[in-house]
Amino acid sequence: MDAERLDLGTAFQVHGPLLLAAARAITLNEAEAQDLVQTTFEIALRHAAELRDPDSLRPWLLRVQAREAFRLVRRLRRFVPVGSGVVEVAVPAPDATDSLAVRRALGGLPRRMRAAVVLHHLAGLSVAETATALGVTESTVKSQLKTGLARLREALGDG
Amino acid sequence: MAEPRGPGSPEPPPDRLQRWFATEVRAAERDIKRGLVGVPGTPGRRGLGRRALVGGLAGTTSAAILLAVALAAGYLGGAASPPPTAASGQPTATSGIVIGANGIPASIDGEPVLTPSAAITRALVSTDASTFLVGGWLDDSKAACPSTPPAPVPALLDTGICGGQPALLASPPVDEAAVDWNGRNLWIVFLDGASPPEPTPEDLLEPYGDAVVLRVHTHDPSAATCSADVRLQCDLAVVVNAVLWRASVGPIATVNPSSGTYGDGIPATLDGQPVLRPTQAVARADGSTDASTFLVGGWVETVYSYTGCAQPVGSEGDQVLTRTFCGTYLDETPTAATEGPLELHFRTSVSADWPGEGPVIVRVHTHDQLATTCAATNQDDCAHAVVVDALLWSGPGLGPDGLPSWMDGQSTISVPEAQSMLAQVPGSPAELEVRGWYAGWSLPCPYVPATVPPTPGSSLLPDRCQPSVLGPAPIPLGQDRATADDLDLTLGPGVEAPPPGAVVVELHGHDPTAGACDPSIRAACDAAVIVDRVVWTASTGVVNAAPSATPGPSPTDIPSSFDGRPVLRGEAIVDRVEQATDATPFLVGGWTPTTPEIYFCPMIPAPSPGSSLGGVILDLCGGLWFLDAPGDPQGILRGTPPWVALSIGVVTQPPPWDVPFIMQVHVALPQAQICPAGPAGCPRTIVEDALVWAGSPPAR
Repeated sequence: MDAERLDLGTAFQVHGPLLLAAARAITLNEAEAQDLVQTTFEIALRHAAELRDPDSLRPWLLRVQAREAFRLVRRLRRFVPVGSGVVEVAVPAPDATDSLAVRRALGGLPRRMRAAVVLHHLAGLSVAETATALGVTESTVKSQLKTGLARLREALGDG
Repeated sequence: MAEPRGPGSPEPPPDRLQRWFATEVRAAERDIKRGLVGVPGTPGRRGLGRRALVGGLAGTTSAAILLAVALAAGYLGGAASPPPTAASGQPTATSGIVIGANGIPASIDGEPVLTPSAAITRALVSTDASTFLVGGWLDDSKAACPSTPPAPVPALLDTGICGGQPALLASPPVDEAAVDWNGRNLWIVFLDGASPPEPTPEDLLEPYGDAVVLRVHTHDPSAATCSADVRLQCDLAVVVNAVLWRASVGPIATVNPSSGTYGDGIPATLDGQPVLRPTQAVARADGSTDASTFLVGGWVETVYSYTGCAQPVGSEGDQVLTRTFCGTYLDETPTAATEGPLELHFRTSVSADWPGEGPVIVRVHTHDQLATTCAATNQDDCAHAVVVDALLWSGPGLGPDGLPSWMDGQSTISVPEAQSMLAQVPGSPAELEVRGWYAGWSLPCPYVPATVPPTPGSSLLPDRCQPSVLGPAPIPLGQDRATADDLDLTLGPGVEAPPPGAVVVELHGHDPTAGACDPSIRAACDAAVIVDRVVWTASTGVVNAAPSATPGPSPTDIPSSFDGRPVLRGEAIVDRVEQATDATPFLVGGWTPTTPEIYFCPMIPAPSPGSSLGGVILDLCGGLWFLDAPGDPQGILRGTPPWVALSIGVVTQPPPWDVPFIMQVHVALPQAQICPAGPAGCPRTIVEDALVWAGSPPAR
């Protein structure tokens, strides 16, 4: 697929919200989340000519983003200011309490476990795709999902 | 919109979580519409990172642009130059390349490749336009201008050093903070309308971070257009003729002669066969003429694998051996910003145990049989494609401090890096896998003034009675609390203290519950560094991993080593204890006594090494006694010296009686705080970390 057929501008409008929401949920850090989404699309742009299957674009972007989230260079550089860094609470006031509780519950999970939950349960990647994205085995992902969900249910009082 | 719960999910997530995420996606949609983040070429783009983009550059830069390099160092005097010779601007083949220790060619076809610093010297003494080679790493970020350019700036001196032009560095720009931006780097400039037009700008610029070898010259003809006051500087400006070589490499790791591994922990040989680094393997593959195999070790990069992408048109050979987006790469380092220099190809699907990332050694070959089925236009690429035969080794890798740089599927960071990261992100959680040296102590708490009252949330704070630290180096004996170089740790719920020594721990700062702490300690709560998990310890390897014991020659013999670590015996233990300067653990071996009733203390009162019985005794009273020979201790101690009797002062997991055993221990100074002689003169105690092996009672 060439760059024109892929049309990353459109792809960004379509998939960007999911990527940004997933990045926020994984990192729990606004600046890092924005930087991750930006980087993910930069990578996609560099490889646009090599993409062939538009239907696989969304899972691929999610996997790229997840892998970037765990790369040391990114983690060390995430503190370098990349822009104005507008930090904003995504959820309006009526839901703020619930949002805070969910974010706190997610924050109670180890980062990789949290990423597994977000990618699989919220962003819709399969177990196999989640395993690929996180560089671990499927059995590890299943274990993380089971433990992660149990902890989230406990933290959220969702029995 | 998200499709919650991907295929294969065992159970649904909580409703609240799903509702929250749906709200987050809607919020993200609004944010993107108003341009919070975006991609190049779209209205919402907020700004690019420093890396330039192929797509972003293509079509925006004239093909008739000459790439040039200007000197960043001060210009020296010299005579006006003769007219230059024609520039040799065509990139050459990679044959005849000798890779240097830094991963960049040391020579190409016999012509030496200069470092940026040496190239500057070479340029400053040049008198004509003869060309020379310079190698380095391209980077596009700079912190300061090395000099003030004249104004107006002649084209040849338009270095762009304060703008967006890249620099040629002598080392990979991984750590930008460490780059001396005012040092002797070469700064690239662009000269409109000059010739030759090759290489195209993106050849040189993209991707940044690449290592390159450039053919360059001074005394460019365009210097004649400079005004008299800057003519000399124009003559000495270094102009690029061509890019001769480029690769995404860091320096090739050097071999540690004592361990037989490269500096990053990858073995330099395997079963006597040399292990090439990825950059060397590229050169080996490019020059190969047959399908003979060789070994290559490096760091796996599969970040951008794209399911369903491959299946390019053509034969099976084209599909497997031509470059596709499904590529797996080997890199020189785990932290490279771009794909590694060596792309791997697989005749079959990657096995389940193929690591997604991390260090590996693979056996590979070129000239695969499938190459003959490739299209004619791909024949050469297919023939030199590197095909994996087998994964031979995968391991943790080592950082510059000798500790695992790769663990649990991700890079670890050092203590200083962790301190920096935790300090720079106030108010947000930071979950890190940190490598370092751990130590913990049980202090006589009544004598340690409590610094923090027991207020709500104080459980987040480090335990002042049982402090534990993670340091960048082995914790010296006598230290009993964190220094400025250490992380002062709080062990999280359910986390057991690891044995002192090298560890990798997962930790976080800025705990989300810090806000619930009493206001008087809220800042301390936020600053607390909380250990969530012990990932690895030097003594046990990956925690909870299957043991890898090295049995002795018989059940009653004590192995001389265990998991590659020496087992100290007898007087060697005494020497080790007496010479210890820190709490680094080590292995000791011996025999427990035949019966537990033996009680030596009243009979052997000597409290220090040496005794009237002619043997060596250490730390007589209390603890677990053991000897360096099997049998009746009474008989041994009354027998002919030499013999050694030792006591483990603090025992947590005692072995059975009358068996040979191996134990991991460390040295402690239990009275360090009250010992008038200071740490050097304090009594030393052996403390058990773990019982690692126990044999059978000897036959009698």
